[in-house]
Amino acid sequence: MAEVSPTRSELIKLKLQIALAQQGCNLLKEKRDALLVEFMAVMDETLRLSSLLERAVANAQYALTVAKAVDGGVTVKSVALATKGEITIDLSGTKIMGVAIPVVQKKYSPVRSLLTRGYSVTGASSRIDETAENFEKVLDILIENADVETRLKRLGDEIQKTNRRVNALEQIVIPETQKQMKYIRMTLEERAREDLFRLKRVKRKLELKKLAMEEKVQA
Amino acid sequence: MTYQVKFEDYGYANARVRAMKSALLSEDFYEHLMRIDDPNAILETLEKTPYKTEIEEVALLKTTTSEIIDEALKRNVAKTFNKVATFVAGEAGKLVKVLLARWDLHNLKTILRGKHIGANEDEIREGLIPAGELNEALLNELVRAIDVASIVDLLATWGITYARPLVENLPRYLAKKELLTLEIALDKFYYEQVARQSRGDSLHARIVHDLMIMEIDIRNLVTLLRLQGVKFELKGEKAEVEKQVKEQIEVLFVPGGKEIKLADFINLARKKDVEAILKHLRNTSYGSILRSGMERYKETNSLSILERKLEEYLAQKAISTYRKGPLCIGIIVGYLWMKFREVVNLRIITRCKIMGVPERKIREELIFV
Repeated sequence: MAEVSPTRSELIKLKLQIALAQQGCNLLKEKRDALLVEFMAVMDETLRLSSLLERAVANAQYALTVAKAVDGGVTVKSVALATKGEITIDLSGTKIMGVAIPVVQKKYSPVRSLLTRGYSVTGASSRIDETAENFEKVLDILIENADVETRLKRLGDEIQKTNRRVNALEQIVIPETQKQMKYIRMTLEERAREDLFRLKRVKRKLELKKLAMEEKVQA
Repeated sequence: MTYQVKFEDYGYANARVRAMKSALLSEDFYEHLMRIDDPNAILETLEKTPYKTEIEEVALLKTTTSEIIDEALKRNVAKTFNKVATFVAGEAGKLVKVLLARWDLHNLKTILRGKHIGANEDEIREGLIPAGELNEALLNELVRAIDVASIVDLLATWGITYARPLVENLPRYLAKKELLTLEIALDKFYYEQVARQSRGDSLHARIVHDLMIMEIDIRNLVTLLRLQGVKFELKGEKAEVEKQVKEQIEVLFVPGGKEIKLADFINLARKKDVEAILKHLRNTSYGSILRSGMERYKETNSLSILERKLEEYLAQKAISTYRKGPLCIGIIVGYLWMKFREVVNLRIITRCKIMGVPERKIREELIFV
């Protein structure tokens, strides 16, 4: 226990401190609960996107295997050379319960039409189209996933941080302050008892002295 | 010492080709290969076939089994096709050139695509199959060119016919930097050239010409199927929009086919679904072929099912020419298709086996004619 001066002013100070800590703790608990509600919603979305991504990757891999097998790796590679592209992503930010969260948004969908992929329509097969489309869908989900996963991670970190603060207040700060208050209270009571005892002794001594004086006078 | 004798009649060439056909793998071999699950065992089994030399050549150059098999098959098919081209001359030689011209188109497009995106030379070389008129030395020279314009210059300097559509469309490419312009021009030129070069009165020319015409029809049909659901970029008034759509569709049409004409193509390209296209095609040779794949197409919603049906039909027609007669180009045509089908089937089995694709799906992709 930290050293405290057992005075009434210190006791009043600690009382105020404990009230503040309690209030802070309640506020943090409310924040944690609100973050948890948000976290669970984002968690559902993340799980949905993860399973979607898993399926999309499996489909894309299968389509690529078939395209490479039937049209040949050489042809697929050749067509792939013609389809270099770029994806534009908007990065902004928002706040949930005071937590800064980045927002990742695609400017345009990476899923392109047959006429805008860059390779000749007359020189490729529908297997190659399906492969390209499947991989574009993977990219599309990946961008969505990046947004939701970042949000989930930030919310998770914040919940953990808030939880640590609540625990620190509940398990350390408040009990410690309460202990200090108890110590001050006990010390003050002890001091009061000592004073009372001392006063009683003085009173008794004075009474004895008075009695002795009266006996002397009578004698 | 090897003697290369070129005969203008088909007796010698067909005898050589028939001998080569006897080395093709049987369907039993595919079945045997389907039962093997281990990639190394697949490679070992292939080493006991005529692909042994190529597998040994590339075994040290490539790392994964599928890469080794892919490269070996590619080298083998290029070697085989070049070999067939060496023992034919005259009309037969001209017609074989027509049949192998598809590889020139493939190689030119690969080089143009590579240069367009700035891929390195090795990456471009990996995509080449030197089985056409442009040999390895010429292709290497093209790969070393700095950019698309230099490739077009080189082709024009060498007097290669493919330079014509490229020279015509180069300014548009340079202005917009869209390779699509050159690719479509090249595709159209190829089909126009093979249809023209195969035209003739002899039975041999007719066999090749009919196949080329059928290939053009199938190419247009596949484009039509793939255009379903595609949105065209449109601006302006209704009449203007109509004109733009027509123009955009027309660009994708390969002229020269027998059953699919431009007017049909423009009309069908705007149909809402495959059923509507099929309804229109019911009186053509392709109606029943496409209809046979419709059930599976509806289950999977994959156009590749229908495309596969058309490819099988073409392969069937080409391979059936093998029986046209002992002194007919049909033997060469049939063999080239059989060889290509063998390579495709081997690629399907090995790649799909390595990737763990279920056997039922592998069987769906194989071409058995």
